[in-house]
Amino acid sequence: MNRKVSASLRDALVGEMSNLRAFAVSLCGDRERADDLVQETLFKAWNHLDSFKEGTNLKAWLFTILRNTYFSDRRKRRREVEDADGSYAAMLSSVPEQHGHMDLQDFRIALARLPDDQREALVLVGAAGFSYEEAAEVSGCAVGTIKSRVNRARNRLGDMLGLEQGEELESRLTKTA
Amino acid sequence: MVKKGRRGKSNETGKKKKMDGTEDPTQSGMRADKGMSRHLQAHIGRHLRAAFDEVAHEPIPDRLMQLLKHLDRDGDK
Repeated sequence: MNRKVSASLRDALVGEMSNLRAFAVSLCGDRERADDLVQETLFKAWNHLDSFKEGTNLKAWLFTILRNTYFSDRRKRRREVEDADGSYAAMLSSVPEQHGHMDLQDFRIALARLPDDQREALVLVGAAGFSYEEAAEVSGCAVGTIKSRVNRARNRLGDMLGLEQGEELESRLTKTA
Repeated sequence: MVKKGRRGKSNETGKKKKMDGTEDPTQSGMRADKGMSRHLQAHIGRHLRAAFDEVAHEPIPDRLMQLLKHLDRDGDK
């Protein structure tokens, strides 16, 4: 196996690391575990470089490896799912706030409380820059499934954050704008 | 309440949805479905990206950078 050809691939990997890490944190809520996840992903990617066609979507490929690793690890550790809420919330309390914006903190907590598949879909499409089609490939499901997960995630976030239609929302938005 | 600017179709129950599935934000309180206003969607979107970007802008931890160097140096497996 010619590793020289992967020099540009290695640069590409470095380029995607930050996004991978942010995605990992959104999935498991814990920076330590997220970095473990990214590490495992890097190993797998490196060992399966021959199955990656250069010129195709490296980012999607990496994200797919990461999320598959996360979900298969989670299946093996069912016990920890029940605690996910508590550990994530505990982690959040140690994250330094920026400009005292409780709003964003509330949001992070609400995001953490979404079911994994909804949070994953929302992050892939709404933050990680994937199209619905790409997100569907990463998650291994139909495009329609991604769309309904995203909609449910948004609705659930809206409910959790106590945001409702009407003037109350309008005034709240203008306050935080 | 004055209903104005209706651009979407409405069904028998009076629910209103535009063709793209979003709600007409001038209409409030009459929904039985779970449509969401553009404002709320944008609000959620901003927070989502802020939370994601916060982590994405952190420096890559040493152990991950070291791993990349290590993998490259070891070459073939």
